[in-house]
Amino acid sequence: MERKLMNGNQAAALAVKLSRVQVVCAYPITPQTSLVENIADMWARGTFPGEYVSVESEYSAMSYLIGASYAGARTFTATSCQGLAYMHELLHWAAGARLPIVLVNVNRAMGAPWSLEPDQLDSLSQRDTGWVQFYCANVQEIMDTVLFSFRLVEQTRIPCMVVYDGFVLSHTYEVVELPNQEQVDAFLPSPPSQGAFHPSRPQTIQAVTDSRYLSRVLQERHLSMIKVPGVVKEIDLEFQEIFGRSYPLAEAAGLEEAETVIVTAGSLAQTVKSTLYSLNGGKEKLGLLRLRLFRPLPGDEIASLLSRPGLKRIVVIDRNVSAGTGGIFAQELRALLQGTFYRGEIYELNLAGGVDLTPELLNKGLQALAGKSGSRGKIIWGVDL
Amino acid sequence: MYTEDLMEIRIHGRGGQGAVLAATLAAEVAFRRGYYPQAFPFFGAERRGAPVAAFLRYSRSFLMPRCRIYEPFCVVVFDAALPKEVILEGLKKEGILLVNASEDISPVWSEVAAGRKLYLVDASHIAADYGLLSSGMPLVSSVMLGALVKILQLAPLQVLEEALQGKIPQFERENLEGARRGYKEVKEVVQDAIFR
Repeated sequence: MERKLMNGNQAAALAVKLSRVQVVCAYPITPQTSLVENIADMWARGTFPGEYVSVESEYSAMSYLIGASYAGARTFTATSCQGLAYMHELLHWAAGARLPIVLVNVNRAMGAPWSLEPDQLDSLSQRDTGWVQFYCANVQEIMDTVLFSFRLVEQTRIPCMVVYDGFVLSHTYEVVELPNQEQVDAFLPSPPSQGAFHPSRPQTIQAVTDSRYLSRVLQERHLSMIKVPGVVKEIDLEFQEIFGRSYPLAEAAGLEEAETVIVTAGSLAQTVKSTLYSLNGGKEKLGLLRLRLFRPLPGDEIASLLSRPGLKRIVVIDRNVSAGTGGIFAQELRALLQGTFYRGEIYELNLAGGVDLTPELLNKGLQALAGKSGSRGKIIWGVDL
Repeated sequence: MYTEDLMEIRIHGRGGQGAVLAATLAAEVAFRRGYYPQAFPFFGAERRGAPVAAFLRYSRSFLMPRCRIYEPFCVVVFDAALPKEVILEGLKKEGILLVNASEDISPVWSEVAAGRKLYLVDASHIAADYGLLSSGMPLVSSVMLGALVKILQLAPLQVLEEALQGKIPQFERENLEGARRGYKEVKEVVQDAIFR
């Protein structure tokens, strides 16, 4: 298999090309820009056979894809921070209409004030729109998850957001194993026929509904979403067979022995993993749980991974904050573990605003949290350490 | 700590000089030598002529941290007029400093290096020999890359040449020649004991 040096945005763009996407519509925004530039460049050279449509805003980009997707096309867009927020209303629409759209969001802090830092609040603010969300930890995973998502959305008819940290992954070059077109074609058959709109068959869809009908629709969406972790596992088996790589719903390292488990998402996990056995002089037994599939959160899987008699404390590292409440991943974990075996504290090391996680900062954070007992909900801020 | 052969490099230049390209191409060379590289730019908006930094980290293990580099082992300076305190920030005491400067100002840089290994290459002149200029600013990226690969003993010249094939968007022949010259002409400055 060919291996090549590329950054996260290039990997996502190549995955879009290999997936034979028919319609890409996007508006550039740092740090997503080089992703759509790459696709536009391939389109201009004639190596990307789909349509590349420039519009004047993210709102129009998602609107355009909703139309294209209703018409049966395989569609893709990408954005960041304010751009994703600008799509918000239409994200709900795409999920409600069960349109199989794939979107890459490159994490960037929401303004104000303006910032380019890789805060996660942009995508986490879209948590309840009904989209599947994956958080990626390296460039290979970005490429693979974009490929994977087209299969997932077409099978489930639930749109999917592939999320990765701005600059830390979007602009970092590393070695990637390139899939070839035959492999991707074997994994991703042609987009399914979707009863597309046609001028000869005028119709109204998504017309006004009453509560009884609407409640059924929402219930159905909920039940379909609950099945997603199982579907992801099934598709992953095929992915592994074709590409030789496999991805868990949540990544675990060192959990068997761990007294403290660090829970985080995205590229932060690799810094934790690389220092797991040397932190704190190796005295403390540490484990890592990386949240990869975040919507829907695979609760059973996570609870079973954390179900260890030796587990004494959980530390969640969030690079986001829901003002007045705390880190969003920490809140999710508290809800998930409510009423389970785990009676210990859930501590937070908060890196909101894109604070860089160095091994030194992680060590300091763990030490600072060691002194906090019985203070449920207490947050240690990376910026204070 | 996490991996014994971890190398961390920071490149200082000005927007448009090719610091990011040099980091990426050095990553390509490291990859060809069996390392896992991570090459990344300074996080932010880049402006032409403004001070910029690019980073390179590589190791035999994929499992490296993903933070920015605060204490590089090696610092590469594309423009000797950049502030010295910025250049030296966090540079390890046992580290390496590679500067685009002619040998006649080596005493100045010996003092700056303060006991660290110091290498100079006259990259601006070499770049000018091949017409590698943009609005009067020397494009020293490939020359500095050649010098960097040499002083780190990262790869023989031939591997460097192979790594550059098809990777340079403009003036490929001139940049290849520049990289060769950088590789061959970079010199260690033997420093007086007083600075050590």
